[in-house]
Amino acid sequence: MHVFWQVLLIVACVAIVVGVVVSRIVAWKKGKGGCDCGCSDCAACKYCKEARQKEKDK
Amino acid sequence: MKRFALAGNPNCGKTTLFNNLTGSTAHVGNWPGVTVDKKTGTYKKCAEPVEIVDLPGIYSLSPYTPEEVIARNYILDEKPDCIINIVDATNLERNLYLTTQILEIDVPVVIALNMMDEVEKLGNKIDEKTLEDRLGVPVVKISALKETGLDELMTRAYKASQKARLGETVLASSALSHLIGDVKIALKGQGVENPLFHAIKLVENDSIETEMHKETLPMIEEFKGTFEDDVFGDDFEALVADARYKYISKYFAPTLTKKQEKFSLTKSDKIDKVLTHKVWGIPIFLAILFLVFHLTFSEDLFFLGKAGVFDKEVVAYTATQEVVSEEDFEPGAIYYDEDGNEVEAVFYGGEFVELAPIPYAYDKAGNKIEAFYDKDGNELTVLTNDEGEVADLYDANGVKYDAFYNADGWECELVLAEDGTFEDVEFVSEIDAFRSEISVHTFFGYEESVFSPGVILFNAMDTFTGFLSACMSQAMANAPAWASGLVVDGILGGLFSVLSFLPQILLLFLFFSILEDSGYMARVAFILDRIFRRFGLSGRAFMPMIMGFGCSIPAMTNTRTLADDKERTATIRVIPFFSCSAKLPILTAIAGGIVQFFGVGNADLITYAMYVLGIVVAIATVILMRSTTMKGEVPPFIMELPAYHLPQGKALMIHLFDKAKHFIKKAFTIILASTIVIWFVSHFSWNWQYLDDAEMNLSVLAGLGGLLQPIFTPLGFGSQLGSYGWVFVVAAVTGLIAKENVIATFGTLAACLSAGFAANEALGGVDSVVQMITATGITVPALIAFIAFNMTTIPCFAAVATAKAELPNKKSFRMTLLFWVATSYVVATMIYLIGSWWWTSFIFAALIAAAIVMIVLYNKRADKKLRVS
Repeated sequence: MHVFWQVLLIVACVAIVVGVVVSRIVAWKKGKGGCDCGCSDCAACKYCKEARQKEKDK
Repeated sequence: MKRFALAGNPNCGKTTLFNNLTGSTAHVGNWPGVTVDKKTGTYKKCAEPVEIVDLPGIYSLSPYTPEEVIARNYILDEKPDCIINIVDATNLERNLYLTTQILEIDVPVVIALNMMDEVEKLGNKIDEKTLEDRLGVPVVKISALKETGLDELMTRAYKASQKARLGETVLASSALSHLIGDVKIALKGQGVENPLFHAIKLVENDSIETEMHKETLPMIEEFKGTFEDDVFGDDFEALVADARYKYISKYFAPTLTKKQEKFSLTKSDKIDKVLTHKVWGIPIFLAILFLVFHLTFSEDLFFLGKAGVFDKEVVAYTATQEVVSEEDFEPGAIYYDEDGNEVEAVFYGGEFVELAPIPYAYDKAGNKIEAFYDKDGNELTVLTNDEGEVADLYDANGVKYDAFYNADGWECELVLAEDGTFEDVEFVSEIDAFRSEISVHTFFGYEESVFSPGVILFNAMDTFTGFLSACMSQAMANAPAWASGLVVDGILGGLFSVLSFLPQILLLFLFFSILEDSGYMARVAFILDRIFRRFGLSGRAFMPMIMGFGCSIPAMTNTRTLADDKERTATIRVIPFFSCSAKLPILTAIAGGIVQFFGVGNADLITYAMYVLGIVVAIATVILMRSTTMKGEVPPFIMELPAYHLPQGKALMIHLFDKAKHFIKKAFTIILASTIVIWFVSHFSWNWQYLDDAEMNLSVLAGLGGLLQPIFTPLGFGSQLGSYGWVFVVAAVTGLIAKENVIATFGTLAACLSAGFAANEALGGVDSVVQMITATGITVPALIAFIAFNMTTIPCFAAVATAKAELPNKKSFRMTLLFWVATSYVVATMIYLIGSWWWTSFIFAALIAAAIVMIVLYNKRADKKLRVS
């Protein structure tokens, strides 16, 4: 395996981990996501967002 | 853009209509209270796009429940251009009670008579023209389920929305008309919008209105003072309700013509006589639950194998063609199968398991290699050279072997024993190795049993992920060990161990959705209300718990429908005990591992038992809370039982698709990132040196896990597990991020553990548990304790954050965390100790009895004090 591919593998792994962590934080701050069950079919999604907002306000 | 609001009684089909109008996939359930918040979508077939707002189901516009407050505030404050009032035509009179209140608001209204297909099926008729004349607003017959009449409904609603409408009341002809009229004039003078609606609510003593119009109250009280009623006295709320129902019975109800027939029970009533039976209701529920688990997880469908349906005596032959039966097999002896191949009887724990073929190497021409020779023609017994590698080998004619093959002609390499003698042949290609393991039995069942649909789907997924893993392993054959380890063991191992359970999770949720959609889950709430009530919770608290089987977060937020704070806190605390879909891989993988490695029990029975254990722990802890720190009155539970109907295929598929989408999304984000981190910290030492798979015990992860390991000794997966015991601790901790991580951690670490002596490929969830059992020597009670610990301990981060926001204060949140940790520790310890030493059950029984006595005595004393004071 060429060194280039080895470096690329490490960079990709770091990018995935950082990307996931950052996207979670951003989503959390925007009041999106959270449970990963999805809001589209959840009757309580507004409550979730309100709950997080309440938590943030504290 | 115009905005239309959908309002109606619970379970009248609002969300089904909403989905069909907007193309949304909002969750539809055949029980009241599925929608607790408003949802929006767009309808595009009118002259201009129309925003549709799905409001939660309500019985009135009085603020009795949070849903009623949400719906009322929306209608009054957001001022939709039109209200589409969905009326369940099979329950006309009761549904029109809400209609009479909506009509009092200054907003265009259209009535949608839903479930007309059901009405017609019963042979009944509704004269919608007369009803329309009497109500004074358009009435349209529809079937939201069959999608009939929807275009006409929207056309008429759009037309109605273009003209303002003033509120009218059916109370105009009642004795209250003058009183209401006076209050209305007073409010109108103050410039209040919707004066008629507010006037009636003020007369009713509505809590929101009396708070809003404090300054007008003395005048209204004065007006009321002039009014007298012989029946209801000054109970104006009852007076208004009575007047509404009288009007409905007199003018609206006659528009329904019922088919003349003798009184008989409906189909739903007949089914309910059995399913909600006082005695048999709960056993039937448990049996249905078991059937669901059996169809999803069993490797012996309907126990046909155990019943002996597939029993076939295993026989082999001696070299002289004498038949040897199963009971005469001897370990180590060589026999022949029906095709004349040499086989050996394999025993496990003294029990015969199977006849396994004896491995041989073959040359390119397919001739069995009887002996190996060196270059000089000397027969070899040790096949390695001085460096321990396979030496150059020759046949009796001095021709060098350039490759070896198995009996099927697939290329292999020789596997040598420690002393350098021939032991086995192993496939050169990872893909060949994978192909060799696939057979009809892999998918559909062993020779002595048939798999359940869930297990067949699991095997298909496991085979697919195994194939991908073998391909990747093959592709990275020449890569450095760390790179192939990271990709194949770390990333694919973790990811595939979780993904392989996706079909079973979806199947389980398909069954749950069918139960919910058919109307059975509403009956379960009714059945369980009898039990829960005794322990201080109402049946209403059961609905969030049912949601907990899907995900704890919406379940916790759904507890807002519970009025009592103490009941709500107790419910939030026990919701995580209702095993969510993320915990399913833990249950299934460990149950499968127990069955595969120890050969005890059935995977479906173990999984089912753990689900029931969760419910039992929830009930036990609720009793404890409600009889000690969280005492309180149990509010009455009134719920309308919906009629049974066949589940809607489209809705089920939408629900499953959504579930699959989010599971895969989670796998490729949180779980993927976690497996990468776990692989790295398990392959680097504290001084940042790379470690081979065999050196994982020196890693950062092992060090951290080892620190916590002693804490879990009473639970069976602590210090007693020795060198690799930290894996269980690490798995439990990573589960706090997302519960799927428990098995993903096993997958990553087990693949590394196995890499030294097995094919370098990712292991499935069950295989990784078997690998962990082999490496640590963990016992069955400890594995069950591990499942119980993960089921009842602190849930994932997101659920913890939701609990923090939903609980009344910080103290309550801290106590909840402590409660989860304590409960999981105590439950898992009890399981491990009782499972390992049965006599400890007497000690626990005595301790529980003592605790009960103490609580009873304490409560008696407290009651006495209360009476004295």
